[in-house]
This record gives sequence, C-alpha cells and structure tokens, in this order.
Amino acid sequence: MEKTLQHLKSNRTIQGLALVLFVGLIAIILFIESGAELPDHLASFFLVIFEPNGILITGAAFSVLALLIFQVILRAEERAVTAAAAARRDTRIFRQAIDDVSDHIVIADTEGKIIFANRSMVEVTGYKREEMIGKKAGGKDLWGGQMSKEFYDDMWKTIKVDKRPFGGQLKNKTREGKEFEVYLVVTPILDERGNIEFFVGVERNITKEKAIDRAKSEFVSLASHQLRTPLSTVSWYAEMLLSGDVGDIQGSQREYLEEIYKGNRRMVELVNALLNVSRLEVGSFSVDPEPTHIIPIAESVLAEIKPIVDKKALVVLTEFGKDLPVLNADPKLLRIVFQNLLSNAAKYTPEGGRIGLHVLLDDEKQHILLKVSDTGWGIPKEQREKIFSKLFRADNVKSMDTEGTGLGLYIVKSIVEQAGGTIWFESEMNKGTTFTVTLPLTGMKHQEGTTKLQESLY
Amino acid sequence: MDSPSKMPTILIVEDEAPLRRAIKIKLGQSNFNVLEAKNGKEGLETALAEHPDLILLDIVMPVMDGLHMLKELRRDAWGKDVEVIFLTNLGDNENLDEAVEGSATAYLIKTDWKLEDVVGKIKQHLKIEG
Repeated sequence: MEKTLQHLKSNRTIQGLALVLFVGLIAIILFIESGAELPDHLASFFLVIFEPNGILITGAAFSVLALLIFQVILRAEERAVTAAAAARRDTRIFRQAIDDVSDHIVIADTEGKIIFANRSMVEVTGYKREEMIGKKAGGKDLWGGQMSKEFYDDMWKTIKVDKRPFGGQLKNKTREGKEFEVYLVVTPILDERGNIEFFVGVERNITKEKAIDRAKSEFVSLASHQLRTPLSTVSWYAEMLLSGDVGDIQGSQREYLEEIYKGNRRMVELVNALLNVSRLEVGSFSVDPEPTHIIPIAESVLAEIKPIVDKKALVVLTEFGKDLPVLNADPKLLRIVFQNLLSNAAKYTPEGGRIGLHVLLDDEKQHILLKVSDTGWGIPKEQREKIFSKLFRADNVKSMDTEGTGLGLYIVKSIVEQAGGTIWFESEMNKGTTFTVTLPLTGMKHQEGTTKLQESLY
Repeated sequence: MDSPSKMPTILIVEDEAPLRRAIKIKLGQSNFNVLEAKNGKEGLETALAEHPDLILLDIVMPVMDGLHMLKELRRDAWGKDVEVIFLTNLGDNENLDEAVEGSATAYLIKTDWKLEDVVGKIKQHLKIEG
C-alpha cells in the first residue's frame, strides 16, 4: 500500500510539471499571436513580457503558480487516498480477525436473520456462508432448534425486549446432524436512541470441555462403586456378627464390633457426601421442580432427627407461617437442606438445649425464609469465613464430636445458590447459632442431569 | 412359616462373592430358597430356566451387566412380569432412572441398606408377613 502511494505521488508530480509547462507555453504563444488591443497598464506589462527575457520569466511564473495549485490539489487527494486506504485496512483487519478467530461469530438483523457469519461458523457447521445469509440464526433451518422452546423464548426476550446480552450453554448440530456444544453470548447492538440495530452472537465450542466433565463424573461414579463394594462387605458381615447369627458375642466383643460398624457407616456417609459434592461441581445432578409444600418436608426431617433430639433431651420449637405458598421446588433438594441444617443444630447443641425451626414469608413476600437456630456451642469467630468450605469443620466441635463429614454446609450452600437463594448465619460462642436461608418464590429451575443428589441416612 | 419347599425362590445376581454369600446366608435364615448367579448372562439363563419369584440384581458385573440382563429378561413371556429389585452400589448412570422406573420394582444402594432391611423389602414385595 505504501509503495503504491509513493509511486502514484511521483507519477503525478511529473505529469503536473509537464502540464504546467505546456499550458504556460500555449498561453504565451496565444498572447503573441493575438496582438489584441490592451489597456495601457496591461500593454506596458506585455511590453515587458514580450521581451525575449520576459517570455522566459512569464513562462516560469506560470509554471510556479500552476505547480503550487497542483500541489494543493495533490495533497488533498493524498489525504483522501490515505484515509480511504486506512479505512480499507481497518475493515480488512477487523474482517480477517473476525474470520480467523476460533469463536463462531454471527451478525443478525433485528429480525434475527443472518447478515454475516465468520469462517469458524462455516467450518464448524458445514453450511456455506451464502446458505446462512437471510436465514434465522438459531433456527431449525440451520444449526439450531436443539433446545427447548423455553430456552429460545428466554433468549429472544432477553436480547429483544430487555435489550440485554444473553449467555447460555446450548447444543447445536452440523449440516450432517452431528451435535456440538457451545457457550453462546448474544449482544444486541443499540443505536444512540436505544433501538436495536443488529445482534452479534459469539459462540465458543465447549464440546471438549463437556466431554472432560463427563469423564470426570464417570470417574467419580466408578470410584464410588469401587469404594462401596468393600464398605458393603464390612457393613453386612459386621451386621451379621452383631445380630448373633453365628453365635453369641459378649461384652467388649459387641462394643468393638459396634465401633467397626459405626466407623464403616461414617465412611459410607462420606462417600455419599463426596458423591454429592462431585455432582454439584460437575453439575450432573438433576433438578426436578414440582409444586411442593415445604412444611411436611420440614416435619418429616424433624421426625428423622427425633432419636438424637430425645437422646439429648433437646427442646424443639417450630413456627410455620400460615400464608406460605406452594413452592415450585425439587422436594429432594429441600430435604437435603433441612436435613443438614437440622441435624447440625441437634448435633452441636449440648444436652437440654433448644433448637428452633421457623419457616416464614419475608416482609416483601418475595422469599421464603428458613431459619434454623440452636443454643449450641457456636462457630468460632476466626473460622466463620471457612464454615461453608469443603471438608472444613470448626475446631471447637471437632474436638467434641468426631463425627461429621465437613461437607454438609458446603452442599447446602451449593443447593441454595443453585435455587437462586442465599444463606447466612449469626453465631455467638456457647450461646448458639442461627442459619437463615432465603428461597425466591419464583422457585427452582429445571435442570437435566444424569444423577440425583442423595439424601442423608438415618 | 411353611416348609422351605413352599417358600419363594430368590435369585441373587451378584459378581462379588462375599456379598453374594452374605445375602444368601441372610435369606436362608428366613427360609427362602436361594439361587445364585455371578453375572447377567448366568443370571438370565438361571432365571429363564428356574423361574424364581424375585430377582435381586446387581448392575455393574462382567460379561453382562444388570441393565442389559433386565432388558433381555423383559422380552421373555414369563420374564416380563417377574419382580426385580436392583441391589447395587451404582448411584450415577445415564438413563438409570428410566431403566428403573420402567421395569424394576425397587432400586437399593447396598451401602445404604442393612441386610435385614433388604430381606424386609423382599418380603414386602412378595407380600410375606413378618
């Protein structure tokens, strides 16, 4: 580009000089030939220029003047040429960048019809560019239509009505019908008045990442199976010995066997909790919301923990709001939340203490509040930040009670956040702790999964 | 209880010998007749030949797994109605839900169930008192 410009410039200069000399010369000859009558001051002027030297001077003067005018024109032209070249270069750079990046990029008009698709999109889908232009992005005619109607409705509402970017994972298919998974972000591009001019969709192929996720989840599943086989053996044979099937056991024998049995149960619980953690992290668990009454779930969990409540002579106080609506939620997940919070409250409260369960609607009537309180040992100040971390157990209870996986609150927090809710607590040492969970009345969102989270065993 | 010959017959399909043995002992104590198979292929052959009243079926097994065996079993005129309880340690499996919901009576995780309760569950399904 620079070279061409240089070439153009020198060419023009030579042409210009030649033109100026030619025009100058013609003008002089015309004046000489015409011999027209001229006003006095011009006549005297021409007297001078008709002198042999004058002709030369006039020619030169004309040339210089014409050259100056030409230079001005040339510079203006040069500037225009440079600007156009820069614009062309910018366009080319942007286009090439958009074409060559690995992300799939589509630009669509306000109706969602494709006006541009980059090379990655062509390569991954197998559709030619001219086949895509004018068709609806994400439609069945092309790579789309693999997701639920709700998914697409949600997407179009977000970008067209709310005029906000939309992000989500989805499955597409190639021209040959092969599925691929992407993370898509569609951004509406607005003009200065806030009207949508066009949409830009950028997709990243996450097929490989998803395959790794699945491999991880498969590994966890297989590992759990392998771990559970010897755990079952220990559990069942200890059970048979304890039941006296093969003869009486006496005194310390029973005590020792019970320790083996209990230790084994803890390992089983740990494997179950670890499985839940991995399901939560891989996102492979299903969420199946259905119209759910919360109070019966709370009551059945209270019944489950009754043995420990009775053993420690704890007082249970409950308060259930009368105006609680039916919540669209996965009852199993709600159960896991109640199970963990209530069994923790019972476990970490000294004998004769109080535990409370309040299920209420918040003041704005936007959330259901679950409050689980106890008069227990509390959570040490310096360890409060870590209480929701995996495998973390506070020092004070670790020294008192060796049981517990350190995974319960992590699992609860993950479930609550998955449901769009929040969880927090207040705690005072040796006075007690209150956990509060909020769940939005909008309920839980359905999630496809290959597995379910498992409840605790009692 | 009636004499052992009149008691229902249970087929245990389980590849782990110690577990198979434990279940067999426990079921024997309740006077059930017990048949054993080490994998799905053996299980299918035994089931079709002996027509047990109930099948306790593991899932992860060599040669032929439990899901495959169940599918084959359900194709048989007798096998399509026989009571099947999955007794497994596999908690995660794609399409497990449908496989179980469609055609097995129950799905029990071994580590979560006491032997005594497994026997109770079998009795409940065969509508035996006690």
